[in-house]
Amino acid sequence: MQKELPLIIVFVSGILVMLSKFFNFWRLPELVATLDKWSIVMSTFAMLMGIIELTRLHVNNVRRRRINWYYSIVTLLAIYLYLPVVLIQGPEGPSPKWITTNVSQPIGSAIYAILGFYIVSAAYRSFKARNLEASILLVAAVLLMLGQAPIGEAIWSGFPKISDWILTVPNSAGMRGINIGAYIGIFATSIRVLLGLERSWTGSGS
Amino acid sequence: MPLYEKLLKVDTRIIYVLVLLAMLIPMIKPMGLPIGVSENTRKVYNLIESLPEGSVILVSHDTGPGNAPELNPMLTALARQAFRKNLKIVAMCLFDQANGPQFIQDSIEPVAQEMGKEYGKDWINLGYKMQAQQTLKMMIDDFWKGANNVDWSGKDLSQFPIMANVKSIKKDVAVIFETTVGTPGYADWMTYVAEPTGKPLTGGASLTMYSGVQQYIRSGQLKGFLGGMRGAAEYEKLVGKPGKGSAGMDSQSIGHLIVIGLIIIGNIGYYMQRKAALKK
Amino acid sequence: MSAQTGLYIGALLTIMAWSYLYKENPLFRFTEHLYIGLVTAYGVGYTYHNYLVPIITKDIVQQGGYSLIIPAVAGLLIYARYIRGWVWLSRIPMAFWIGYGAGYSLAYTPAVFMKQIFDSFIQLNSINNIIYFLVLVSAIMFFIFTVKKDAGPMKWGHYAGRYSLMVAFGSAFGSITMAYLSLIIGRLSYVLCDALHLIK
Repeated sequence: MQKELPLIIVFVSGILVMLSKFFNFWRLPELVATLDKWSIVMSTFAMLMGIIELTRLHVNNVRRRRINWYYSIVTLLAIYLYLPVVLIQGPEGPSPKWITTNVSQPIGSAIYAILGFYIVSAAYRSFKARNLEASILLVAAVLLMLGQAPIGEAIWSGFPKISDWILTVPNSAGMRGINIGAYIGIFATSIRVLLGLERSWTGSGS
Repeated sequence: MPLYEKLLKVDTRIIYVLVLLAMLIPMIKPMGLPIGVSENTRKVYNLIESLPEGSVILVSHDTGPGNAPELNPMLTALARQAFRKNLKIVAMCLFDQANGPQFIQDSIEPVAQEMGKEYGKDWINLGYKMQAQQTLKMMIDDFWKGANNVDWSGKDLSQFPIMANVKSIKKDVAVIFETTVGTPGYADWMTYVAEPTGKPLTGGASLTMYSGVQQYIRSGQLKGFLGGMRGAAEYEKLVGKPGKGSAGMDSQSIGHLIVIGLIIIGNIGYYMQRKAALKK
Repeated sequence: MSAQTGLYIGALLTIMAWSYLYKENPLFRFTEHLYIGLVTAYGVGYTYHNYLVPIITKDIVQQGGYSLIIPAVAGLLIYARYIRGWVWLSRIPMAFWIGYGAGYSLAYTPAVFMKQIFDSFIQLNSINNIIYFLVLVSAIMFFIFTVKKDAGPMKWGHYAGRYSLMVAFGSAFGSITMAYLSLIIGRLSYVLCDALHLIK
């Protein structure tokens, strides 16, 4: 029963949603509307999972003096000194607002912006016209970049038109082709999950 | 060292410095390059412009701190256009719990104060809502239930006059304006709200997703979409007040030239290396 | 603390994070770990104020929605993974979320998908439409793996699909490069204009 019960729940919950979309009997849409609320309530009460796992990981790092264990102290202090502040003042309180604006956001943005430098470096190192496919990719990328920036229009008025054409015709068609394949994959995977053929989430594989 | 080796082995840190300088110099000495306006941006602008006074725009600002420089200016420009036309804004986010609500405040509040608009009466920030699929589905028929009855500060929605007229997306929302960088994003709004209800869905995407969004613009499922900082700059131009989007365009231009230049240098080095190898 | 002090701190943290570009160093590590801790704590606090408190005080107590205790208990089952011998209970809420998500995909995604299919049947009355249709068909042919592509139309379709997808990926790469350059501009603007007032 320990293995079967989760699979039964997967099937029943999935089927209920699907049936409620197409049929209106046994007050099915109302039942699913109730389950929507239940799903949110369940997520709310499961909210401590992230903090528990993070605490376990970093406390273990400190206890076992793993490499760079002192940074784990930074994380733990950040969590347990900041959490009471947010709980007491609320998310829109002056201190959380100040910390979000002047600490979290700058760090998050800066770490993400590092990728910009990496992209440029990667473009220089690996973007070589080794064969026809790579050349097509290169030309499309360069034309798009020239067309989308104002400098391209200043150099030649045709660049924005070419760039728009690439975006709206071949790119759009290619992406649609990729997406059609992806949608079919989503359907197939969803059906496998509902039928219990996909069990990797249980930790026991297919 | 042969020339092609020098071309192929430029130190990474020199590249980083080049990129930084490319961004910095236009900031110090702006070039003032003119910004053309694309068809997609016009569609977004015209859609908002066509709304009658008092209409409600449901904004979903689904961005993280990484993509905020692209998407925050879009929200600021939208707020300016909407408040000029006396439209109402109900804003929320589905993507980033930690930063999203604050981004909404930072983008809309200054414009609201400048234009004399009041929080709770002309606009509201509902903050982050979890479980996008279920939240959106609930909001179609019972908006307050989907929003868990609170705004981003946890105050009950009954305290805010704007929410008295926003009980469901189906009946009370005119347009959905969605700024997106990933999932949850425009795909969720399109699948769970726009398709079932027929509500017009527009907004803006980070350029990381913009090429993937084109097919939906073509099929009419998205009523025009802004693209990255460029789209924000175009929208600011149409709204009539340049902001952070426009300010970054010169730097973006030079940055692009640097990237293209580096790619060309890399390819010259590659071909010279191939030629040398063939000779041997 | 004043707003300007906050901006100085934000600028300093930005530079500390960007020090990673030179090489891995303690300053970057510190900012990274600080960020993780702050964001986690904020997330819990936000959920407490905006979900837990309204659900308990308004939905359950004021409105008498005592049936919500069932999903509350189901949500708490996720913590059973820390109790030896009771780990299987934690799969119950997981199963519900996974099944619900799969059901939602199957129920709602076809409408979006079919509109894409319908929009693909375009009149071939212009060069752009012909190119669009050929690129789309060849891209789909590329992803058909159940038919041999050694010879005939499938071979040419496969090759045409490859080149079509290269154009799409090239556009995507160009767009992504532009996007990430924007992020650098945003940070520079924050540090030099907003915080240090070195540039207007």
